[in-house]
Amino acid sequence: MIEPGLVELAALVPPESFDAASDAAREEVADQGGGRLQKAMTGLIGPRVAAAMDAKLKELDLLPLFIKGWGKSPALADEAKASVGVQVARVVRLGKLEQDLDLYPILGISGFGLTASPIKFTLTLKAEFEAIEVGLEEGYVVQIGGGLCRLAAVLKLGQLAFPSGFDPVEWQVGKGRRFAAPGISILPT
Amino acid sequence: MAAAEPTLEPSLPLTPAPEPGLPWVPLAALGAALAAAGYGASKWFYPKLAVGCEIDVGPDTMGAQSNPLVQKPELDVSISIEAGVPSTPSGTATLVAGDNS
Repeated sequence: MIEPGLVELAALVPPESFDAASDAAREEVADQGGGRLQKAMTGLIGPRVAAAMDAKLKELDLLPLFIKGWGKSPALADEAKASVGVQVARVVRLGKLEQDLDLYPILGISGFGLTASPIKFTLTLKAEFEAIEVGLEEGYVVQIGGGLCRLAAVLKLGQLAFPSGFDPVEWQVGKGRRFAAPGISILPT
Repeated sequence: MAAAEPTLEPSLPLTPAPEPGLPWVPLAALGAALAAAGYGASKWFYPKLAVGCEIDVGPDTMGAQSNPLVQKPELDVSISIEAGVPSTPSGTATLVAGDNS
């Protein structure tokens, strides 16, 4: 399942897109009035952006971030409400659920005693959950299992979107995952 | 007195007589033996030399202090990731619902 450390950014975004994003970031620094040194600094870090972003993405637990949005689905919200006050866990099986999540990697560069203006990228993750069993207790998602999850990503900088170039990466959920109590809230508080 | 019957001498000898001249084959064998003996002797008598080489590394004269223009640029790259709000799921939300009993 999607757990921290499992998602390889290199499997979702090709290196050409990082190169293009780095070039665009350099131009953006120039457009924002950054000095030549700042522009040069931004140009030097091209290959390191991908590595730094990949390392940071591995620290993220992506699945709860997606699950937090499941309560926006009226059907799932009704199921979550139905699990409140019931002593037994309620289990629902998802059909095919598509969902987007924007992440904002903020790049900071410093050197030569200078710090360049931070550059804010957008990494849009497109997830597709299929036939996943969801355990609900008291309005919280407490566990998931079975089914599969597909994940694709698009890297953006401002209005520029760089091609993903890859097919979605697929994970079998398998035995699934149980979340620490009380679980992940999907109902508005 | 009966004349002795002539005996038939074979017109050709059964084994060829050695040709007069230089005995090439024995000479070649002797040469090979001598060469082998010489090679062996050279291996035996030549001194066995062991050659070693050590290189001491002197102080670096191109340090950052002596020539700051050639130092490798040290840039710190840091990334922090902010998570946005997940979108509303689309598609078939649930197929089967029920309790776990």
